[in-house]
Amino acid sequence: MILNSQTYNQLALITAPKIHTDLLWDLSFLFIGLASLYFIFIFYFRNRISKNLERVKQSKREFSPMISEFLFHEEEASKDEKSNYVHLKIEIRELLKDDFNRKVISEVLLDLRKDVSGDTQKRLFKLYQDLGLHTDDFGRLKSWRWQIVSKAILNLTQMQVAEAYSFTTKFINDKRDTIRKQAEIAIVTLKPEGVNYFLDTTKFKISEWQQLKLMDVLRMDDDYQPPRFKAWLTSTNRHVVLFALRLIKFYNQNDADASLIELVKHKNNQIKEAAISCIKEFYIVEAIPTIKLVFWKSSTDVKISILNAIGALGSESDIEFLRLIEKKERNFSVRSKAHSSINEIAPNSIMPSKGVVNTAKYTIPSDIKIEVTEEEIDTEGFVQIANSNSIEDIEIDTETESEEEITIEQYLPTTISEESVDKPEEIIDDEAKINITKENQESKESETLRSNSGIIHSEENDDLSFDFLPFVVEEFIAVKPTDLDQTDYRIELNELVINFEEVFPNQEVISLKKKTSSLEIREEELAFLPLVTDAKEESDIENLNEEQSNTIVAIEEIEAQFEGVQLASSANEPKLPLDYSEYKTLEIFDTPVVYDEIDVPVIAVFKSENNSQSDPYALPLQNEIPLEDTMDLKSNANQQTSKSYDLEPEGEQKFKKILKTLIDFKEQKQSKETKTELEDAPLLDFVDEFSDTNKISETDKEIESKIDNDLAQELEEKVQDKPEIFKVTIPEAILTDDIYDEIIIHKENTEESRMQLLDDIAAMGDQREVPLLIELLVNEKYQAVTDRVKALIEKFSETEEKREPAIFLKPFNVFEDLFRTCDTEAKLILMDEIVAVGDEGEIGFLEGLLEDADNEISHKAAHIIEALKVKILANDKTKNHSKNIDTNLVKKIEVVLEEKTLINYDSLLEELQIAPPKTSEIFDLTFELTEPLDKIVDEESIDVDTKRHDSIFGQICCFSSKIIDKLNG
Amino acid sequence: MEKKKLLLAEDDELLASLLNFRLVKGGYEVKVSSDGRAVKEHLAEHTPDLIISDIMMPYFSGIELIDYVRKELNLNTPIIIISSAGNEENVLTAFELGANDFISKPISPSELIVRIKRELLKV
Repeated sequence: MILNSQTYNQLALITAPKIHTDLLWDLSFLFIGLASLYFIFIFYFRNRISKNLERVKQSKREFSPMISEFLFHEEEASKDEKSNYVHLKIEIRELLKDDFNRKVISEVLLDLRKDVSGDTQKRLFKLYQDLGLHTDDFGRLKSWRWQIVSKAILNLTQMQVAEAYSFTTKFINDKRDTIRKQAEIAIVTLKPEGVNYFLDTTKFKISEWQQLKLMDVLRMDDDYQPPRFKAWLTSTNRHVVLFALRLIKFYNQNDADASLIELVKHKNNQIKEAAISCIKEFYIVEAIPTIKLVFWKSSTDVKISILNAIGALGSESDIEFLRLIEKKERNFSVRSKAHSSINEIAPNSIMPSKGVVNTAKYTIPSDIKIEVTEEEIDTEGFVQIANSNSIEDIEIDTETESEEEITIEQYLPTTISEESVDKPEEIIDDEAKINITKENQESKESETLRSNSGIIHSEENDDLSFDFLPFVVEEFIAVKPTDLDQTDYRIELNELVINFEEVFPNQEVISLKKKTSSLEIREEELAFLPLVTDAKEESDIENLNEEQSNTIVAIEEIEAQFEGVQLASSANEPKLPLDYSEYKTLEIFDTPVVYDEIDVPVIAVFKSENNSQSDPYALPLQNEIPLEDTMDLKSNANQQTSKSYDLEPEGEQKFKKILKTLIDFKEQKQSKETKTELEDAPLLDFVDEFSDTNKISETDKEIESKIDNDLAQELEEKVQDKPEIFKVTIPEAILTDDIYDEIIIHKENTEESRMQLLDDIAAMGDQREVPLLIELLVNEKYQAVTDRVKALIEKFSETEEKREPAIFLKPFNVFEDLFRTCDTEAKLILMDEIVAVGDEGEIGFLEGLLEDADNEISHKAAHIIEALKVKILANDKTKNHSKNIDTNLVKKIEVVLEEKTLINYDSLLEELQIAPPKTSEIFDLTFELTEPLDKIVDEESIDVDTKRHDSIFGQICCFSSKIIDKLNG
Repeated sequence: MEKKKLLLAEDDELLASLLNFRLVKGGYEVKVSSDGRAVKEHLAEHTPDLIISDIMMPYFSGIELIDYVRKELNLNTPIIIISSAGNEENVLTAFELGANDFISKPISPSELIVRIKRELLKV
């Protein structure tokens, strides 16, 4: 029994509790019953709630049109609508008798209140009261449950039931927070004076959130007229005071200064802060002493508020207090606020100090470079020049402003000290320092002159370069620098003609002129510069005066024919006019000459008479055109010049004198030999441009490029003697049809010049010079020159004969390629063909075959070489028009070949087991080796081969190849 | 004169009923739909003259409705959006998608009538 009543038997090793099965079943049934009850309860109430909700929902759907009808009913409605409206009223009154319906209608109206606004909302409030639904809320106010009371107060408040005001005031000091807060909102909402009552009577705390809600209620009321809230500043409820302060600030009630000042002394920090905020907002300056007084005993937040107010309201007298706070106050925020307040009162009185490096000891580095733009130089430097000097001819464009204004800060380090910045004069002085040239800087007198004139200081600006400036010089050749004074220079400068963009000041020119001897300006550096000179004082005036009348004639012709010479009408004009009609020839000596516009092909470089050294002002007339280009130019000029000029001997002579005085001569580094040879070449060229005697051209570069001015004295003599001009016919080897048939060369009479020319030809010429030399030999009168020409002709002729042979290249051998791909038998046949068609080029190839591994090939190669040599020899004799062929050799060769071929033929027949025919019909076949012979072998060899084919030997040779072709198909 | 057909999409039955009553009284023929699916079904068969739609609706929001009408149906029907206060972002989105006007709750039925008239006049 016991075992049967137990669910589990006791098993070994398992000690489970003994439970009666009946008890277990009882417990199971119990819990199942409880669960069923629970679910039944749940389902019951769920269905009940659902039904209620559905019923409410259905009721709302039914009541909604009715409510809408009541809400949107208009007095101007039709009678049907009015009768319908009356019916609805009756119907709803019947419905309202039911609590459920009342509740549903109340909910509908409350829900609609949230979704509608405006006039509909007002109608809704009115309907709510008309239907008497508010009375239900009044009744709920008596409920002991706080949620019902609260809900009732809320409904009354939402439906704007003013009658509920008196009922809700009872709940202002209710112990239950929810009811009290709802009552506070209701009182403030239902009546405007409700806030007064609330502030007067409330004894409880007004939470921050409640204050916000109350203020929001007041704010939403557009018609609200706020009371003077200062009245509640004296409230014993500090929350009321605090709320009153906030309302005062919100409604800008600034009539509570005294109370506000007193409230600064309040114990409560919130009230203090609110009072200080009001003081700052209403700008109550009288409160400053009070807030200063309470500062030290206030909290950090209050201190910050006080400092904020002092910053807004305070004056400089309060800075001392703020300084004191800065020193005494420990709190960083308070100190920072004190700084802020000080700066607010007196801006920039406290500058940032943390992390700022002291730059008092900073200085400007001495090696700092300040670059000055061109525009600044124009606007600054030349303005000063214009102020200090009266150069009327120089136009200074002071209106030009630099596009990129260079400020000192751009070039100074960022940590430049204030001391350095405070010295603008020095910096400007540095900016104005101009480096004209290194040579000019080295000239102390120049610098002294500049510094005296107060214009430019250049001693410290070595890096500045003014290469871009054109160099304008005034020539003073005849007048010694020592005799010049400054006054004279100004006079002369007024007569200067300036034809350039930018000009140096006159004093600069003067100083440079004085220091001519010390300046070492290379001519090449100034070669690019145009030259403007005043010719008035550069030559011997006495000589000019004597010959002026005679010169005019020539000058007139120059002007008429030579457009390169521009003669200004007046020396006082600042620039040369472009209109050539303004030029006058009578004042040629007073006019400047723009040399670089002269189109005369004067290539020589002149030098002044008195210039033992290089004169920077005596700018060279240096033509940098290469020789080849020069020749072309001259040739073109000669072609274009259809009319030349004829100068009478006297006029020509006088004109050359004038030119000698006008033109600066340049010293050139040249050997004296060349100088003597070429001394009159430039002048002659120049003169011949004006004369129609001959077309003049130059062929020698030395003639065009160099002349010694020491020989200028001999110029007149040369002119008087007339240059010897003769024609030299240019060899056809040099000239083409497009060039001139002949070029007139000015001949130098000296033997040395001829020898020099021959030396050059010997050094650089070759066999192509032979025709020229032959022509020179015909025309030459000097014996030494003649011998030299002959020697050169022989030299070049030998050179032509002793041409180096062409580089021997191994000829291409067609058999070599064939040998690579064929067998021994084919090689043997090919070797036979070599004899027939080969030449000496195959000998090398055959010699290579002598070392072949196959003895048969090497052996035959030796034979073929022999035969080929014989053939070549025979061909050579044929070429040499020797028809005496060594018949013995030929026969010998034929015999050798025949024997060899027969041997091969027999061996081949034996190998192929072919019986040779008894008759010789096969030899009647026509062989096909004629075609390649036609191409390669010459006529003689063809004849030989033809004979060979006709012979038995030839037929045998072809027979073997024919057989092989047949065997190959 | 034929009445203008309005489609009112509002899930709040009370408000929908109230507006429906007011609009019918204003002379319009109103079709009320309580959710987005019903709106789509109705739009598949009918083309209203104007659509009044709440933004927050079950199944199919007012934003999606605008997008559906404009892009899928390619209708230029004026759409007035009803939005709750503080829901300005959705209003901006609605305008970007093609809404013509909007009105926020609480709704003044009189104001809504004015806006409807204005939009219909534009059409």
